[in-house]
Parts: sequence; C-alpha cells; structure tokens
Amino acid sequence: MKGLYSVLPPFAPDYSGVSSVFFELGGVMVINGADGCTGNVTGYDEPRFYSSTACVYSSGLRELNAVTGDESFIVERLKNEKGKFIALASTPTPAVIGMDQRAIAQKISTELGVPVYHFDTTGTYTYEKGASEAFARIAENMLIDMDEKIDNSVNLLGAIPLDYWNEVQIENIKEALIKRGIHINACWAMGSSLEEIRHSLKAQMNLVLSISALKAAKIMKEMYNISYVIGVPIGRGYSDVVADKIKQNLGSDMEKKEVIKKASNVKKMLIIGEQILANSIRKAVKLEYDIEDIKVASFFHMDKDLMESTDKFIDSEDSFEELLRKSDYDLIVGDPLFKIFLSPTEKKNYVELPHLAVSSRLYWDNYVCYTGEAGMEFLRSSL
Amino acid sequence: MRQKIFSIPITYLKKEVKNRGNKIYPEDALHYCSPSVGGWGVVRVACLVPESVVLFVIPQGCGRHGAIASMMHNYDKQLFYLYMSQVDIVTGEHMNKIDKAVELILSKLEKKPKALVLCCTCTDDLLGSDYEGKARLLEEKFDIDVRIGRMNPIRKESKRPPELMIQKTIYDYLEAVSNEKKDTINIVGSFKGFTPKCEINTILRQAGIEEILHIRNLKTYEEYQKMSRSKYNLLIKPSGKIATKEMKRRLKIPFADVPVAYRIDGIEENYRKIEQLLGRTLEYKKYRRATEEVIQDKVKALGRLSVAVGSTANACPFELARELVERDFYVPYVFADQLLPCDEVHVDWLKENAPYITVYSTMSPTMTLFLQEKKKVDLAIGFDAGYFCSGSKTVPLSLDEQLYGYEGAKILYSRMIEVFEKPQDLKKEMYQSGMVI
Repeated sequence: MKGLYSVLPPFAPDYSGVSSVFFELGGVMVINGADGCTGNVTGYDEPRFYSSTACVYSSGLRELNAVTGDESFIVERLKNEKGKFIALASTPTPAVIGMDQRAIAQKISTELGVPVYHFDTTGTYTYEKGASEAFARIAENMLIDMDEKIDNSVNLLGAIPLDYWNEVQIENIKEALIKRGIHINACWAMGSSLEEIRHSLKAQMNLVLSISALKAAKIMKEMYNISYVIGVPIGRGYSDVVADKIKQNLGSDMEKKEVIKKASNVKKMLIIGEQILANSIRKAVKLEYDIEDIKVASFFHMDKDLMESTDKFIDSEDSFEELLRKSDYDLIVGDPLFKIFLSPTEKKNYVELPHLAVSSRLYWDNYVCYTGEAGMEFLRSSL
Repeated sequence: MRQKIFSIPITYLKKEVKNRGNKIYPEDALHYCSPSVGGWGVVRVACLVPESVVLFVIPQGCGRHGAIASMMHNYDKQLFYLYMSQVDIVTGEHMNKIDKAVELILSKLEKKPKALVLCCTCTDDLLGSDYEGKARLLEEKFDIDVRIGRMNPIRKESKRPPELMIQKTIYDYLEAVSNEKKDTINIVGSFKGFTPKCEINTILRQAGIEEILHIRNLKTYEEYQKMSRSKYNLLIKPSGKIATKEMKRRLKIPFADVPVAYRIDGIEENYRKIEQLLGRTLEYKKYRRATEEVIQDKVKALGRLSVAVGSTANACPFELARELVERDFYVPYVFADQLLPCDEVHVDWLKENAPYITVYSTMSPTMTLFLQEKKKVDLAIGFDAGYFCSGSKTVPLSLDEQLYGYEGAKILYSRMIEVFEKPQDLKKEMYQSGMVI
C-alpha cells in the first residue's frame, strides 16, 4: 500500500532541506510550526547543529494562533532578531490553515528591513524539494552581478549534509578538482560564507553535486549564462572525466584517454540513493570495471533526463521490496537501513553508504569516504 | 544580533512567570530547540502498551524524530506509519485509508496484537477528523482494542498537552472491573519502574502491598490489565497527572502525588503521603540515618563544587537545586522552561537562601549567546545543563532509569563522583538517549 511504511522511518522533510541550505549563511532560519517540527531539524537532520550558534528557531506556533488565524505573532517574535536575512519555512500546520507565508514575509521585511525568503514547504514532501527551492532562491535573489571572472573556476552546487556530505567529503572533491587545474570559487552551501556565495558569478561554471541544486544551476544558466556540469568526482578515472567536462565547457580540447577495464564477479549491481551521487558511482565503476548492468534507484526525486532506462524511482516500501525481489543483485550499495529488507545471504553483498536523509543520527558518524580520488575505495573490495 | 541573554533571577522567578501560565521562556520570542531538550516523546510512550501496535497517521515530516529514536531503542517493530499527502489533507481521504492500512498491518504480523494505538497530529486536530469514531469502527471490524494518541505540539500550552495526554492514552486500555480490587500499587508518570534496590520496594511489601506494577514491566496485555485492579496509584512524575486523574474517575483508583525528590525531607514527605493513601504505617524512618551518612561522605569527597541543574534531569529541577544548595554546593544556573507546581515551594526557599541563582530558559533564542560565552561549572546535572555549560562534567540523570527515595538520593551522589572518575562523551550519550521534543 502506497504511503504505508512499516520498516523505514519517515525521511527528512522538505523544511529540513531548506534549513540545511541556509544553515551556514548567517541568517535567521525560522521553521514556522510547533517546536516538534524544529526538533526534527535540529536534533535529527542537522549534524552541524550540536554546539553551533546557528540561528535555527521555531516560530512557536500554538493552537490559539492557528485557530484565530493570528499571523502577526511571527513578526512580533522576530523583532529582536537580526541576521543577514530571514528564511521562513512552513510545516504542516500553517499549510493546513492556509497561512499566507508570502504576506508574512513581506510584512517582516518591511518592518525589519532585512530580506526575507519564504518557502511553502508542507512536511508532506522530502528534503530535496525544500533544498531545491532554497538553492533556487539563492540563484534568483542573492547573487551579485559582476564582470570579473576567474579562469578555470567552478562553483560547487548542492552540498548539504542531508545529501551525505560532510566537510571531509567536500574537501576531497575540491582537492580532486584543484589537482586537475580547476579553481573552486564558492561551495553551496558548506564551507563558504554568504559573501562568497553572493560572488558566485565570478566562476565560469557550476558543478552540480546533487539533485537539490539542479534547478539552481538551470536558473543560473538562464539568468547569467553560466553552464553547468553534473557529477561528483569519485575515483581517479571519473574525477578526470568530471574535470575534463568542465574544461571542455570552458573551451579546452581534451585528449581521449583509453582505460582498460578490470574484470569483476559482479554482473548486476544496484545503487540506492541520491540520484547524482548514485549516477556518479555508477559511472566511476563502469569506467574501471567491466560491469554493464548497474541500476540506480531512489526514494527521492529523480530527474528523468538523468535516468537510464532501467533506473527506478521508488514510491513506497512495497515497490522497494519488489525491486529487490525482481533481480538477483550481486552487489547493492545504499543506506544501512535498507539492509533490513534483505536476507542474511543478500546482506553479505551489501556496501553501506549512509544517507542522512534516510537514517539520520543512526549512522551519521559512520564515515565512508566516497568522494575525490579515494572515493572508489569503499567499493573496490566488493567489485 | 541580540546582546543580552534572557534570564530571570530566582528572586523574581515566581512573580515573572505568574501571569504567563508559569512559562519561564519569553512570550515575545521565537523558540530555540537545542539538541539537549526533550524527553521520550509520544512515539516511545505509545509503544509502552504491551502487545500493541502503533499506527501514526501523519504528514511524513512529523514522525521522523520519534521514528529514529524508536529505532535506537528497538521499539520500531511495533511502529507503522501512514503518510498523508497534500491531497489527503484537502479531501480527508487518509481517514478512509486507515482501514486498509490496519488490515495490512494485521496480516503482516505473525501474532495478532491485542491493542492498536492510533496516533494523529496537529494536522488532524485542525481538520477536525473524527478519530474516536474511527477507533470504534476499527474495534468492531478487527476485534482489537483501539485508543487514540495525539502528537499535537501546538497544544503544548493547553490544559491537555501531548506529553500528558499520551500518558492518559496508554492507560485508557485498562478495563474497569468490578469492585474487587487487589492490594497492588501502580507507578504512573515515569517510563520505568523503581530500580530493584530502591527501598520503596521493600517498604511497600512490608506494608502488605502484594505487587508494584509499572507498565514497562508488564510483558503481556493480560498482565497489564492487572493495573486496573490495583487499589492505588503513585504519581511520581508530573507528566502522569491527567492519567492518574482519569484512572481515579474511571477505574476508582485513588492516587498520591509523590514526585521524585532528592532531599531527605522531601523523600520522607512522599512516604507520609503514601502512608495516608494506603492508610497504613510505613517503615521508612530507619533508612534516614544510613542515607545521611552515605550522602555526607560523598558530599565531603566532592568538595564545594559549582553545579548547574537542568530540567531534562529526572528530577524537579528546583527541588534538586535546593538539595544541592542545602549541602553547600554552589548552584549558579538552573535551566528550565516551565515552573512546575511541585517546584514552587523550593523556588521560595531558594529565593531566600540562594538569591544568586539565575534561571535560564533553554527555549530562548538568546541561548546561542550563552553557548558563545562558554560558561562552565564543575558539574552539570541533566543533558541540557551539560550542553549549555559545555566542557563541564555531566550527570545525565536520564528518564531511562527511575531513581526514587533514599536509594535515588544516594545514587545521585554516587553518579556525581563517578563522572569525575569516568567522564563520558556527552554528545554521544545525549544522542543515544534519543530525546524528542
């Protein structure tokens, strides 16, 4: 039955995605709802929150506000807050009562004189939808137009902890690209300040690391004619490919490299996860190994243009079970929680790749290096 | 940015919070949700009903923290989620899907559960969905006891807040029986029964009590039903208040309000209240001297430490602060978001005897400034106190172990010593405890 979950926990919601994007940017993040909604974000979806002084708050919505249609309380409660901007994300309750987030945002902006970005998140969608809107809002509203360009430079778009990333993974990506002659301008949205992100138009290209940032990349192409490449540098071979693509887009002629593929006992492989990372793993594996049948599946949004014919969007636990039963996979890569569906024998052929939007704090300390030149090593012994 | 951390001197606390329903946090501010706040949450409490399954009907965002916490504590096998889509919310279609969901859940399970906790959220409160009616229909259709749990934090400040109402729900399955009551006693409000070595077990048995019942220790639904035949209830945590009142009305079980105390006088007062409830004399006085001696030795060993007290500790925070001040510890900070009735008398005492105490609400957005200031004490009691006074040795005194009586007081001081001998990783401990707001 679609919508009935008996094994997996609810995944990170859309408003967690919004919060994740703005977390490091020095604004005030307001989750408009009861405190429990914000507790989801700060306690279970945001590993950076512990000991941080980031301003992520609940609006403290109560029954009386909801029943009487009181929207002014948010403006009142924000009067003592001053950040570089305010981001206002909604939760199920304001969505149900039809709270006018746009009007509230306008009022706050007028009264406090700071930019306010509102998000009509509802808690009925998963994180990547909220993150996508947040990245898009940065692309549309926060960038400073400038003529100066840095040669061979890229912005990294789509880095949030919910999409697996931590600082080390980001550094691995940067290192792989820098080694190949590419300058990193800004990283959206880990490790770069708001000012650095606002100066993103100094870069010549964007590199899209996750599906959450694809919309923003398309907006930047449309508004500022900045092209983008999609992919995560994983392993030496695929890091070369990503770097070459960037350079080709920048007008360099690249030499075609011949790679001799290694034989593998794996004939059928399934990668479950965020689409762009999963696609990158697939490409990195195919580049080095003679494995043709690699399927990507995800519980989260999948862009049709990035799907291969056998790839699968999973819309329920039932369809996930069906996917696992339909084929005998020699190797499955995915969040450790997905192993619950497998038999003891099948579990032996499973490589764990924690996805924070799925398993939250259950595995967020289980570090697996899957980016940069060493990014294939976690898989190699299983191939 | 704000410049001043919101706080209230203990001397003004009662006056300050009187006109806002005893809330300590400021009304005109956003709410800060630190990783250190919360408790068991509605999901884990709902799972306490033996041989039950719990079905949450929710927008998926609402259930995440509770689900992950349940997985950390192995409750997840009895948990199910039915997600509401936006279309469901508009059309109310999710109410029709519940029947099919229950049918599928029951068909998947090897053994048919005896009870179903059907949980809804703020969303259905506002939609006015008829869950009580749905429960009756499900009972008839599937021959299973169904009660309603509500995870509705928008009612946090109402007279029926979720943390109290879910305690009521887990006892709503108890069936009213004939007047034949047994000489047993129920422990209500806590998530665990008394620790085995706690003297109250011996004292009550010596007074003729046949069994001390706590829901957590009752493995089957049949065993759990024994609670309805108990003659008495002990309310040991404020969150069981509505549950005990309802059990008094519906099951004719009187109760004594005897909240966890760490002061010897407070412990004795609780025993006196239990004596009144039972109408019998309890042999508790003999434990006093031995306890005093043990505590005095430990206090001496600890020295005059500075201690911060938090409200996530398994205690009434101001009662605990008073105990520490009486023992000559220096208590500069108490972290609490609400002034509990059981604490009012202790705030009065602290106002006179420790006027230097500053009270902080962990929900105030200015607590980010508190974190920046890196205030330190020698020892913190409660995850919240440990989190905000980072770097201090922390005794969690968590809800996962129910300290009580003289034994509880002795354990408190033992833990205070142990934490200096074997410091713990606070972050790890805190996250493993799976607290949920």
